[in-house]
Amino acid sequence: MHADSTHYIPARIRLPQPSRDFVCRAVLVALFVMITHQMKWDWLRFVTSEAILRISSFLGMATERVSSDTIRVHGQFVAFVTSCTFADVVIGAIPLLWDFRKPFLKVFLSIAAFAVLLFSFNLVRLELAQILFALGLPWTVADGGIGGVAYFAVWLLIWRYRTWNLTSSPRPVP
Amino acid sequence: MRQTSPWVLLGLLCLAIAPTVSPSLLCAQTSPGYVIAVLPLVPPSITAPAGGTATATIIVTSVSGYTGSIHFSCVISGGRAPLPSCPDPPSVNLTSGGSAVSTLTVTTNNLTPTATYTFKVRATDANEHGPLGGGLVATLDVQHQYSVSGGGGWIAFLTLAGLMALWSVARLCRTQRA
Repeated sequence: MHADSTHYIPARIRLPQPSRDFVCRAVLVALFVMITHQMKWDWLRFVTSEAILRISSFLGMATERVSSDTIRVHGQFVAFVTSCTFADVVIGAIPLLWDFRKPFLKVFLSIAAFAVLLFSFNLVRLELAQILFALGLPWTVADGGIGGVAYFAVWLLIWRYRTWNLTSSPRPVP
Repeated sequence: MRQTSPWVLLGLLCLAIAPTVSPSLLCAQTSPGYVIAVLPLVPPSITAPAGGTATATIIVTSVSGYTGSIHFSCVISGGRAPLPSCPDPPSVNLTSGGSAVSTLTVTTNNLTPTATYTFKVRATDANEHGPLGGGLVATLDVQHQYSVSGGGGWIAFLTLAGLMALWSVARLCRTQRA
C-alpha cells in the first residue's frame, strides 16, 4: 500500500524592497544631518537653553546660567549641544517631507511651519526631562527616554504626511 | 697710471664694513636687559560655576645690571566671544641683578563659552624695549570646562529602536489581518 504523499514546497519569501524614492530621501537625510552637525548653531543653542532656563525657573526650579550654552537646573549642569536644539531633526526631516508635486513656496512654508512646531515640541521634551530629573529619575534615563519617544513621535508625524512609498510595491500613500 | 691691486680694494672694503659687523661678530658681552618667564596657569582649567579665576606667575630677571620698570599687557586670542577678562598684570621694578614677580589673572564670566583661549603676556620697559629673546614671551591655554552630564544618547537610541520595532510589528499584523 502506497500512501499518496504530497510535498509542500514553501514559497520563496520575497522581502519587500525599499523604493528608490525612499532610498534617495534617506541618503539626503544622512547628508543633511551630517552638514547640520558641522555647524555650531551658537544662537540656537543659546535660545534653547534660555527658553529651558526660563521655563524651569517659572516652574520653581533652581536655575542659573553658566555660559552661553550651559545652564544649571536643579543642581545639574546641562550643556546644550546641537542635538538638544532639534536642528538636526528639523533639517533631516526636510528630504522626507518635501513634496515635489506642490509648488516650491507652498512646500517651503509648510516645512517652516513644521520647523516651528518641532522647535516648540523640543522645548516640551527638554523641559519634561528636567521635570523627571527633578523628581528623582537619573539624568541619562530622563533625557534619553524622553528623547527616544520624541524622535519616534517625529517619525510618526513624518509618516503621516509623507508623499513617498517605503517599499517599491505599488501601494498608494495615504 | 698705477693700477690698484684687487687685494687692496678688498682690504679697504673690509675696513669700511668692519665697524658695522664687528659688534655682532666679535662682541660677546650681553647688553643690559631683562628676561621673562611665565609659569603655567593655576589651575590650568577653569570649571563651573562661572566666574572661575586662574592665575599665572610672571618672573622677570635683570641681566647685565639692567634696572627699570617693566610693564605688562595681556592679549587674548582663540575661543569665542564674550572672551574671559584678562587685566594687565601689575608692573614691577627691576634692580640690578635682581628678580621681580607679577601675577597674571584670568577670570571668566557667565557668558564665557566653553573653549580654549590663548593668553599672551607682552612685556615692555619705559623705553618700549621688550625682553631679551623676544617680545611675546608666553602662550597659555585655558580650557573653560564644566562638569556636565552627558545626554542619554544610547538610551534615546534604544528607546527609539524599541518603539520602531513595536510599530513595525503592529503594522505588519494589521496588514496581514487585512
